[in-house]
Amino acid sequence: MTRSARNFGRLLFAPITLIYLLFLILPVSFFLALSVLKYHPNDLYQPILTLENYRRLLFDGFYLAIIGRTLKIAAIVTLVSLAIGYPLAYFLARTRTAWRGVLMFLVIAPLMSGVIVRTYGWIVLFGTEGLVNSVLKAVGLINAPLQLLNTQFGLIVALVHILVPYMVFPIFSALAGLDRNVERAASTLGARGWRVFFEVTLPLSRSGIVMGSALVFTLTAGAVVTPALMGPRDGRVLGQMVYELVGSVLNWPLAAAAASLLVLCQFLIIFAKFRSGRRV
Amino acid sequence: MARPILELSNVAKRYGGTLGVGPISLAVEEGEFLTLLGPSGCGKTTTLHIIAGLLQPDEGRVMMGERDLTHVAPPHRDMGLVFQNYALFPHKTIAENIAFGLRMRRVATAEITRRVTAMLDLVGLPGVEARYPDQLSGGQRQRVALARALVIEPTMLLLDEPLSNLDALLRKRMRLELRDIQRRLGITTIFVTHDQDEAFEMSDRVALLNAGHIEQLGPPEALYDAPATRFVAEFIGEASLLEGRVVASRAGEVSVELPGGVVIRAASDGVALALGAKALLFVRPERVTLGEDLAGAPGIRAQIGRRVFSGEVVSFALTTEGGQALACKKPSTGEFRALAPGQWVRAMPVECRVLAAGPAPRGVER
Repeated sequence: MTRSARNFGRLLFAPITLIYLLFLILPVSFFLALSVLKYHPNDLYQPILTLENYRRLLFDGFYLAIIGRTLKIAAIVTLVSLAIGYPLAYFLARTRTAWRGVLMFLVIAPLMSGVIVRTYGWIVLFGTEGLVNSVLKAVGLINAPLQLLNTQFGLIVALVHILVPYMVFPIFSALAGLDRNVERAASTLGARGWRVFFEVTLPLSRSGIVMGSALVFTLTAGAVVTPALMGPRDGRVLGQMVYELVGSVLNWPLAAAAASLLVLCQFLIIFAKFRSGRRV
Repeated sequence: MARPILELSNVAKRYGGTLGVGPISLAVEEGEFLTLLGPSGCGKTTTLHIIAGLLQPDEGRVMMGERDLTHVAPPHRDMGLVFQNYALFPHKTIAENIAFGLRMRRVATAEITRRVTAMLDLVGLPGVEARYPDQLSGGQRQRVALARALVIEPTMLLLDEPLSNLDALLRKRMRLELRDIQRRLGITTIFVTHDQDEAFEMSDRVALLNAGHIEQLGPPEALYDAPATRFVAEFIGEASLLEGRVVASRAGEVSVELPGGVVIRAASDGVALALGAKALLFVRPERVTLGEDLAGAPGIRAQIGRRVFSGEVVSFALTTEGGQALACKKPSTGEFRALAPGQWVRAMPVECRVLAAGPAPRGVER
């Protein structure tokens, strides 16, 4: 490459660098800084360095419960999405049907409506007079309507619905890029039935699984709107808490500390992904 | 040769109604090196995959001795297959790759280690156990794929164009090495290739495939000297085809008159030709004598069109008086080097054969 071509190549990185600086590095640095300052009810914060905010989050049972619940929900949503998403991705990658394009569209269709619209869709389905309760009542399985809205169960279902595409596509592309001859080789070498899958297919789609799981986990852990609309009133998650601390309680340093913990969590997961995804 | 170890009888594979391959019948002798040769799309890989069990034939049977393999799944066939792209397990080390088949057979760990090491020695690649496939060169990966297929001590070794991804020099060396290993182990081998040189240098017998069926099966010499069809004549090596009329016919031999009046005798075993019928003469370029264009000299009058010097040989593209193309190859000695384009010569084909008239080959890559 000539010198000017190299320079041009660098120039291509300028827009993304600018966006990262302005909208990622700068705000993250800002709330990282804010998170170690002292809270003051009138001035938002005082320029006094303290670890008080982190101490409250990690040692106060109230906050600890929220963090624990957030991680638990994120883990469940990730596992359920994987359980649903993997077979779906496998089918999409392997099918020869002419309907594949349509099926792919159906997978991403939920992403095309806004989060609010989707969530209200769930409210219509899961409400006391909603479709699910009506059907269950009609077939006589229940007498009184089930409480589905504003429960952790409802929240998990809604989150899985929204986030499954993020699981399906990385796994799909890993499976679609897999050399089928490698599976055939395993088969001619004596691997029967599921052994080909567990010895070859699954390990070779791991990059997709890790990527999909990291996406779903971080998106769940940071979710605000869906938990607010679908989740239980007494079982808030970290995202909601940060939102309230910023918007109504106005304890910005504590909100910053909570947000920092969340970002730290997510970075750790993404970092782990890239370390483990090194081979293959 | 020993008894047949594998027999395909009338095996056919269809793709959406159209015949992809077949019907093919083929008996593979124990211990032989048999090559399926043919242009791309001739069905050689499909045939190999049917033998390996990766494809199910729509018709016919695959027998191994008394055992009917037709509907036996690949893991139960005991065949070592080497893929064109090697298909190594990218997430496993070289040792794990080679050990795979043994592990599936529940061989004891110590025994596995021993056999993996022995196999790596055999393919000339000791000490790479802990590496991953992407840390090896193409030639090394090819050896690992071979080791992985051989370590299970399969009844047959199936090779699907294993040399085509290597550079020319390495390819030539691997041909000899592969043949060497095959002889040492005495393992029955079916080799798929589109490269005639590869097929000829390595095989005991070659099956030339065209459009899903076998055109001719035999030792390389037979395919070269006595092609059964026009396709074989033109696919294998270089050949000139001259059209003429039968003027005399005896058992196994005919005399053919070419345009311009020259009469040439040619072997005709297996081809029945009536007097006065059109006949196609087949001649290899190294079997054409060249002489000065003197009145009364024997041979066909022809003019040199192109002269190509390639070291040990000089090749001439001649056009006969009758307007037919005739290729001729001569050792690069003084008298032949001196011949120049535009010059008239007398060319005499020796050891000609007549061919059954047939369609020209499709997809011949030259």
